[in-house]
Amino acid sequence: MNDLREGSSKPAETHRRSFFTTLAAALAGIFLLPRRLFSSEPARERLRRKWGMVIDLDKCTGCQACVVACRAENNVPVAGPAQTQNDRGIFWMDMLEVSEGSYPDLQRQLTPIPCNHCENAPCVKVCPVGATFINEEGIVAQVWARCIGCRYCTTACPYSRRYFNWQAPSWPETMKNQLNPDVATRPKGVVEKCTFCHHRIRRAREKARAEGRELADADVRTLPACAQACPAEAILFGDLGSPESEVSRLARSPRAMRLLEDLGTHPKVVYLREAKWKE
Amino acid sequence: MKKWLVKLGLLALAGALGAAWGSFSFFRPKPVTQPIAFNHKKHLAEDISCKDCHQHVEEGVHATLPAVKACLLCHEEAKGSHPDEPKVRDYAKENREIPWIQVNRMVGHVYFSHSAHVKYAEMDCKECHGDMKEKEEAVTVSQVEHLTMGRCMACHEEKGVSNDCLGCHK
Ligand code: HEC
Ligand code: HEC
Ligand code: HEC
Ligand code: HEC
Ligand code: HEC
Repeated sequence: MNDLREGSSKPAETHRRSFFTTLAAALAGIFLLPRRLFSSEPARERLRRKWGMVIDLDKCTGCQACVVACRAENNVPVAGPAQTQNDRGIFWMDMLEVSEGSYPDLQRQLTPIPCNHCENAPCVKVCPVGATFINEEGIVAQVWARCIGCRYCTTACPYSRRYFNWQAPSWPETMKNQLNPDVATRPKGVVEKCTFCHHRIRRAREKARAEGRELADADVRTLPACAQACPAEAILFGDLGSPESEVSRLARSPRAMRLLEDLGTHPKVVYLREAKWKE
Repeated sequence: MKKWLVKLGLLALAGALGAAWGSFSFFRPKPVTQPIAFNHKKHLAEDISCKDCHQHVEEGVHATLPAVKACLLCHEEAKGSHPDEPKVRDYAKENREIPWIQVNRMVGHVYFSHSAHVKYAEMDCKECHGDMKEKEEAVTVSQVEHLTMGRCMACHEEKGVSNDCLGCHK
């Protein structure tokens, strides 16, 4: 402070005041800045979109329309009863069944679980060939052409939402002409998984661009096949990277939880539920 | 003892070379036979653009091949003296589409969009398909074999376009 006073023609009082006001302004600035600015991510990644999904278990009736819609949309092969009994069926969206008690005092809940698109994805870390990765918008994706079928990822995934093609894909004769051309079919010997219906996001984005506008929340709200099929609107889709989006808002609700949160996988699928059954 | 070993070695070498050559020509794309000898050069000399026949090339993923209806705009009556020319009316009379075979095709897991390149990147068809204005025979072999992943990515890199794997793979 001494040096300052000497080198200046202004009275010390002014100096001290301006010093404190600057300090106060700086401190206020720091608190007012969005917290995300302090993350260690490089600048480009901060502005990223992060696709995420909210599943409201209080609305879900367990009808499984999402499971069926997902299969049809993504050309998921039909394994047949024998293989499925061997746990070799493929379900990008599957129901986890939890029951409590016994008949007649029985309670069951079906929880729809797609890939959780973890931000810290164990499956990505173990892939020895880089076939699975987190894409620019947070989707945990898989280029099956690169997959060597080692199945490390199916083992690493704590949610068991990665599936190995144990046999050549097949569909009942009547379904063969219904395959979706926007989704490539996978051969025997590779792993496959949910893509958050990336092909639909691409299509929505192209449409928005042709109309000369940005992709809006309303365009993607029920974009994935599972969300579109849900009669209860229990599944919503959107950008978790933008704090104003509907999914971000819901993800901040006190009902929000994520599966196996304690593993540190940071899932981008958020569940909403009031409370446990018997509380 | 030694001699027959050498002979066997030579035989194996010859066999391997033969197999390599065989598979080389086997895997090269075979030319297809198009139903009608369509001549791009003659047609493009008329006052007509690619988009008149490949209708969705600007706003769609696929450029699409023309319906016989588009041909009838001019071929309602005979044009020129080529033996294939009356076939256009034969198909139309039978109410059938001309069964063109699409030869330019990416492998099944690749996503390619014409609108991104033709409309937004403003690329000339020539850059990928060669000069169609000079093409006198029907297209019978793929012209996009040169578009390997490396080539696609190199241009994207240069133009600052995303090289996210999911962008091109489905
Ligand atoms: C803008 C008018 C126009 C349209 C549209 C058009 N043609 Fe032609 N076509 C011509 C003319 C003019 C000739 C005669 C050229 C000549 O002989 O110099 C011709 C010639 C041909 C010939 C003979 C080729 C040759 O080498 O002489 C064939 C085959 C043909 N057309 C097929 C088609 C088909 C198939 C379509 C639809 C995809 C089509 N044309 C659409 C104007 C047209
Ligand atoms: C960046 C390279 C590129 C450019 C530029 C390009 N094409 Fe293509 N074209 C392709 C590729 C790759 C395919 C194979 C697409 C597929 O697998 O569906 C193709 C396929 C086609 C086909 C086959 C049918 C179809 O429905 O896709 C036509 C017709 C075609 N292109 C016309 C055009 C025309 C006309 C233009 C210019 C206005 C053009 N292309 C510009 C790369 C290009
Ligand atoms: C009069 C209609 C007409 C016009 C105009 C026209 N084409 Fe075509 N084009 C066709 C027809 C018909 C075929 C299918 C027959 C063939 O493959 O030769 C075809 C095939 C093609 C194919 C190969 C498609 C495939 O994969 O099988 C390319 C590439 C192509 N056209 C590019 C162009 C470009 C580039 C232009 C403009 C410079 C153009 N065409 C203008 C009618 C047309
Ligand atoms: C000579 C340059 C060039 C080549 C070769 C090229 N592209 Fe592109 N591509 C572009 C440019 C430039 C854009 C951006 C257009 C835009 O959105 O403004 C683009 C955009 C795309 C997009 C849309 C990306 C997005 O996020 O909107 C896809 C998908 C794509 N290219 C796939 C391919 C594939 C597959 C190949 C190879 C078969 C290929 N491209 C070859 C220049 C090229
Ligand atoms: C700009 C478009 C583009 C991007 C980005 C891209 N690819 Fe490709 N990829 C292609 C095309 C086109 C082919 C088919 C032609 C070929 O084999 O070179 C291909 C082929 C492949 C193949 C070979 C499949 C086979 O049958 O041999 C693998 C594996 C692959 N891609 C993995 C990836 C991975 C992993 C990434 C992300 C790091 C990626 N690709 C990004 C365009 C792309």
